[in-house]
Amino acid sequence: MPTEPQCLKCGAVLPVDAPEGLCPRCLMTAALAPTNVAAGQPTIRVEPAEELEPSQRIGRYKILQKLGEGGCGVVYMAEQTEPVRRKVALKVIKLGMDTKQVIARFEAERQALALMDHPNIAKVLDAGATEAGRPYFVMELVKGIRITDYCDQQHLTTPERLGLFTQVCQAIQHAHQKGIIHRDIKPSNILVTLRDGVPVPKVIDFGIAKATEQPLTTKTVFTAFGQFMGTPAYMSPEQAELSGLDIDTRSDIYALGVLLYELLTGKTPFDAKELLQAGLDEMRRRIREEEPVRPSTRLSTMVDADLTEVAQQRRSEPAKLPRFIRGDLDWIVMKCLEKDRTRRYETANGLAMDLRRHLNNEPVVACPPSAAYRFQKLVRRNKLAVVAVCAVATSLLVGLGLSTWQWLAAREARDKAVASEAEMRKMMNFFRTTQITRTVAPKEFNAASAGSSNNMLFLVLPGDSRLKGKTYAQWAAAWWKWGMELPKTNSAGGTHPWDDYPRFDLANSPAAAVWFLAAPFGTNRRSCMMPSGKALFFALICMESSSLEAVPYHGDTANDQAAIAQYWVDHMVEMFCEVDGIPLSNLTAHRVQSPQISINVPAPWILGEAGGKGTSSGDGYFVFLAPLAPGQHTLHYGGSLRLTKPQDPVEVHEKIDMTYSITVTESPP
Amino acid sequence: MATDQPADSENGSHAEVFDTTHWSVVLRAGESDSPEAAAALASLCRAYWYPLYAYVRRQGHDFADAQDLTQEFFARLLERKDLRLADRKRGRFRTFLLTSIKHFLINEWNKATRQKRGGGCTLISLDAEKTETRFRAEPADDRTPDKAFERRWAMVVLDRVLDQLRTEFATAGQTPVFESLKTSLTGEESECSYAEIGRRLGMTEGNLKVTVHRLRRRYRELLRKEIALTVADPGNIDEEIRELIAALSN
Repeated sequence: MPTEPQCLKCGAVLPVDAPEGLCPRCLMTAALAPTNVAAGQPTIRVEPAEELEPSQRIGRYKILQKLGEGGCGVVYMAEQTEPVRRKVALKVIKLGMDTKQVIARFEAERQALALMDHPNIAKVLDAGATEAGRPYFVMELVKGIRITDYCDQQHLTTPERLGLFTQVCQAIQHAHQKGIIHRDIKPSNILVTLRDGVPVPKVIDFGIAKATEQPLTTKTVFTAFGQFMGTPAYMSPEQAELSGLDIDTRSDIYALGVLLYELLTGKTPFDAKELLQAGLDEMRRRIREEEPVRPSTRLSTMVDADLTEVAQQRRSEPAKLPRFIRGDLDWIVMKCLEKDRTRRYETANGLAMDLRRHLNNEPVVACPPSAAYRFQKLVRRNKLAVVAVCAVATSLLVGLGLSTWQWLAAREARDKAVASEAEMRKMMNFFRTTQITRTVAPKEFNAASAGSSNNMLFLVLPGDSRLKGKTYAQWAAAWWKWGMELPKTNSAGGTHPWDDYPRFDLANSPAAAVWFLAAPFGTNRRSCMMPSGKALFFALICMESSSLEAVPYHGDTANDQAAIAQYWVDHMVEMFCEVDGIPLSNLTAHRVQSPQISINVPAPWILGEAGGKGTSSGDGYFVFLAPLAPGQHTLHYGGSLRLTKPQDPVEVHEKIDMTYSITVTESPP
Repeated sequence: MATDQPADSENGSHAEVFDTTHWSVVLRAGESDSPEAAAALASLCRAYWYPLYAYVRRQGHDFADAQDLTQEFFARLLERKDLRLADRKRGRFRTFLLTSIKHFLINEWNKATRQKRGGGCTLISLDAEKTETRFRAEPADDRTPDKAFERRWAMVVLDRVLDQLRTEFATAGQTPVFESLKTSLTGEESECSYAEIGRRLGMTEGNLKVTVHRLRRRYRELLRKEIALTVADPGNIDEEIRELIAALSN
């Protein structure tokens, strides 16, 4: 974080004993003899591609023919004559770069590159500079086509695609174990070649991205010819940062996720063209902030012709394909694409294992974005519309940061078939005793609303008779327990009820007056409906700490958990909640510190969590709204979480800002 | 000596030529007594004793023992009793020292009595207080003693080279130039501020760029010379640099 000085060049944290305050590693690297570089060469050269002619020699290589041309280089087939005679691929970096730096960086990693030995990795053999001073790399020659093209041409089914993809993961895992990060995983760097009739994916260009990397600026992204150098669609949020320096193996995991997304849907999460057209700042913002839609959603929202084509390429049918991908594969992909890299798979192997589990019909580790943490995402992206004022439950957990939950309540008829009925009933019984019938604005209600037509709107304060003698804490704990123990599968045999049934009618019984919505995590719903006459109970912000969370600062004991949750909530500032533009006051009056409850989570639907029995404590701000009048309403709420003091374990600065459009129908269900 | 641009390391041909290196002189002399070799070895030891001391400390010896052990080790080395220890590791002074000290710590220390050391004369000046202060000031890390030794070695190389460079600039009355431009040594591009630095130093941007170029070239020369002192064959310089880069890369 900001306290530790970093090397501006390589991004490493400077040691306290850095000589003259300079990065020792870069200092040492600067002394390497630059290879074949003419003295006095300008640092940046931007010039048209230098075409090499067949039979022209570069170092010990003889050019045979041009194989292709990519964003940053031209690839030739070349022949090496000594020490062994073989054909190699020679890639000449096309655009102006500091040749010395490129080669020095390559040299620095050469040793590690030499250690890589994997059937799915094309070896990088050599590097040098052409007479014109451009760097070139020599690689094992792979005669193949890009993995996405291969899959489509061969009409591979989704499981077959996953099989190939798993091999790619293993190759990346091997490289990571040798300390090499690819940094530029994309279809054109993964070629499929046939060996004895069996397709074998080969990852090419290891070590090259690092050597040719430059800070992400307009100059490097868009060259003088308006050409894009990187691959924005595959760029991880941390790579999209301006510094672009703090890259680790998890950036490769992200890119693998993009590749998997593309193999499944035929599209990348973000459209490369749109990203480019958006301009540099907007492009970076989107990569860092915008949540991509889940693969199955992407498929089901395609126009028919497109979906038919995509399905045919996978020997599937337009109706079946999205269903096949929904659930496990969605979560596996989305786990790779997490903006917060601590939430991604830790290793490529972890990703491969999860895919294998999916293929074997075993439960996967990835699961609907977690109870916790989701909050952040919702907050950023989601604007959910809840149909009526009823119970919106929002809970937030931030892992290695935080995690979130968010539940919304509102509902149409079909959603009554929700989740496990027994579980539901148990909770409903509680709420059934807690009818909220009428609404009277208490004194605390913001004066701004007094004259408005929306005089039904108010906060139910602690001690109010409508709480039926229950405290906020009891409400929260019940809501909480209900949510924590939601079964992973629902009666419809689907996946998570929160996803298939974003609106959850707690009031299956007409007597119940509170409407709960299960959070549509990972969906892009921004509006929903609910029947009139129901109250809304929701957590404005709710932090939870449970013994099931694998992330470091979740506690095992009640005290730890409470303290941890309290810690987060203590740092919430600038909270707001508006209904139809009318601010609610006194929000912080409704803080609830939930006592520890025992939970039994039937499946590990929280990322990084084991599932099973455990304990949970929470803390948060809750809001209880009286029924809204029939019609359209807007619920807008949020706040800021700031952990920036030196004593804080991590630096977190999250802004939560959600807008839901709620349609309240005339008649109760 | 060196040309501007040492070239073509991959073919093993180096444009820079170092007539002799300290280490090659020591090795060539073998076990025969040569004053020249003794002087060369002593000079190497004076330069590189600290990583060794730190290594001994990291092996768990307390500060008094580490002082004694290091002294004893160098004394024996300078008496040239131990050169045969590491025949296979002679290519580089660094690996030779590490192998030797390991050997020494395992086998010799038990037998050695502290009184015997150096025939009573101290050849390497270890300032006990300063040495320990320096050791304690080091960042804590979880490197193995071997890795820590290598990292320290690399740091000593850099410290020595930067000292020489700074001294050269100071002698020419150009300390501010060195101060302003030293960040360019790591290869950072600071083009944007060249104009401003130039204004501060009263130089044109063109002049400044030439100066940066020379500074970098001189730095590279000095560093390669320094490393050349410790390898038997100048052809191994790049290899040694790569190993030191690896040592600095966590």
